[in-house]
Amino acid sequence: MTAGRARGSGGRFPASLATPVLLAFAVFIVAPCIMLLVKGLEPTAETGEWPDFTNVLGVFDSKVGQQALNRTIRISLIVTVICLLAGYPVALFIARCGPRWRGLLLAVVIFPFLISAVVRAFGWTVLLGDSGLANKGLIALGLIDRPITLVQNEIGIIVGETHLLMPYMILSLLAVLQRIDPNLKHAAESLGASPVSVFWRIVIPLTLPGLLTGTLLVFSLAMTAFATPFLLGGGRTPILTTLLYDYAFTLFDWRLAASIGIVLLILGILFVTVHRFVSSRGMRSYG
Amino acid sequence: MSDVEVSGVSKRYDDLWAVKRVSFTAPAGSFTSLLGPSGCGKTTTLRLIAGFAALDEGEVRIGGKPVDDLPPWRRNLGVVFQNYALFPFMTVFDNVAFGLRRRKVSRSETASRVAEAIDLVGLPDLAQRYPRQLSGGQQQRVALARALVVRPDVLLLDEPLSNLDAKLRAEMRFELKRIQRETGVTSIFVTHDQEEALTLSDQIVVMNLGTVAGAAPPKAIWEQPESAYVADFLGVENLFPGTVGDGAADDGTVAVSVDDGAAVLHVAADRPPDGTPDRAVVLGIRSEEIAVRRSDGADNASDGPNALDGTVREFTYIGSAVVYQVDCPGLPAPLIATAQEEFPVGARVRLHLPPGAIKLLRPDAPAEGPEDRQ
Repeated sequence: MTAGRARGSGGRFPASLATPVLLAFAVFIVAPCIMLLVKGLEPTAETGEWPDFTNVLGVFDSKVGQQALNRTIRISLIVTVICLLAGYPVALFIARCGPRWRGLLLAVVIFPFLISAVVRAFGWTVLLGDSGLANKGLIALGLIDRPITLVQNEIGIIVGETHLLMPYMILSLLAVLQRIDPNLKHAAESLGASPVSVFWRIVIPLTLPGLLTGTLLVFSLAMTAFATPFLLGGGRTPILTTLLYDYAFTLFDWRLAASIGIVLLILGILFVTVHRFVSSRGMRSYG
Repeated sequence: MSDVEVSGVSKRYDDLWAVKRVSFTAPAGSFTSLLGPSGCGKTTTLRLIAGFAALDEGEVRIGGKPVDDLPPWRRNLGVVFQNYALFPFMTVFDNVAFGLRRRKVSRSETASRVAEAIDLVGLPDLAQRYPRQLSGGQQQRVALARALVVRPDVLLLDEPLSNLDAKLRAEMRFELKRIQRETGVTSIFVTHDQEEALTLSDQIVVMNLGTVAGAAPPKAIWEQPESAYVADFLGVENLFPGTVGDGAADDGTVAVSVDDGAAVLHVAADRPPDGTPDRAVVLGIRSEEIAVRRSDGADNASDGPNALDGTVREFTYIGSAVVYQVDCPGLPAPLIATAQEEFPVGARVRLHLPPGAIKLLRPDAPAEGPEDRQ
């Protein structure tokens, strides 16, 4: 009801306020996208006609491109799942804390945002290195005999990206968790629902909007992350963004680089579309 | 059906006793109201019965069995919340069926019992709607159906009518009464509205500052409140501290002098109420029991006892009558009286307080501040 009123009465005025940002959007986002399409679909041969899909399809055809594509999707999925599974309990815990502890814990959660990518990556390189704390700990626990490679490979990328993106998941979940009416849980309890049942049947459905926002944010940011995978992945684990960088700044092949850009764009649109479809079905009852 | 025994129950939050040694019994099949202003501990008491909070002292028994070690989901209760607390992402049917599904009731039985409950609370066919598509009154009925469908031992209602507008509230009051009579479920109803408590209850428990100030059936509590606080909460407008004089007069009344005033009122009572120290009492009379008529200036001795002359200070017209504030010499505060007749401000009037209508009430212990409840 309130949303409807806001939509109804505030038609013209907010539109004019939004104009500067929308203009900036058009110039700095839509225009580069068009340039990307122009460059990426440029014909390879002199005689060819625009659009030429050979380069874009070439990304899928080449072994390096295919590996990078699979790795990008795999890493993004794993990071999203870890953020969800590890972030949910944290969000639950913070939501239950008193105001003082909540503020402190929120600061801890947001902390990764305050460190530069280089410092963060360097920190993880030290921790995950052969003689780092992680390996020493695992050896001390008797889980492994000698150091395993945790950095300059996919594991390094996953750890780094999870660290970077966890706040997005926790904050999305916290936003909905804090709005849950405690009486809903009491009502379910009084009707015979055990705490486990209350969690799955009441809390999870009520947090579904935050859960969907969180996964959308984490997955799309994981897919387009560059600095963290570049610094923690090493040269032998290219993902789409680092491959794009190589083509653009090592080989200076702007046409190939643009075609990877197009692939990333398509993946992004695809994910958002699927996500929207799932959300609209799952949230039909939220209005 | 089960009775509910609350004995010596206390609950403290940090340094504050939210409820302190509260005891009452709700007989099986009865309707008990917990009545009091906000912060008096009535909702806390309900939450302790429901098991949403753990009590610090005392015991709650339902059907003779102590339930304090049982979590809420094993107490077989129905709870209706002030904000209804319907599950927003479930249809009306799923909301009502929730408790049955937790009890592993078969599909066909669930369907028939949900239909029965929806019918009982007088809901039209809205089973596939979502709560936000319903009016406040309809949501209220869904909440009732959801609580009753599991055939609870006790129905707990936390100010369920306070979010409805006046007309709907009056209608739901009748509905609640009908539903309670038809199901015969033991009900405990939290409210701050004396009218709701009087119309619905078999027993009213008046609460104040976390303790029970009085408990009695509506008629008894209306006619002879236990204490000045209870009388005040049940709408006795005129309350004056007084001191009981020596000996009874031959007409069966006692003379009570009003403190801080010269007036002496005769009250039809043979002794001060129990537990009254040092003959200190509170005199109470309802506005509608005071007779108001124009003063002819003559001596009022011929009018029998308790005739007071006064001046109209202010009046308000309430439709069915006129309510007057009358300044009377000898009384520490203006009297509130109602009459059909209209008198202008400043008019001289004669008030008659029938000795049988004046209540002698036990004064309350000196007002306790929150710091005294620690």
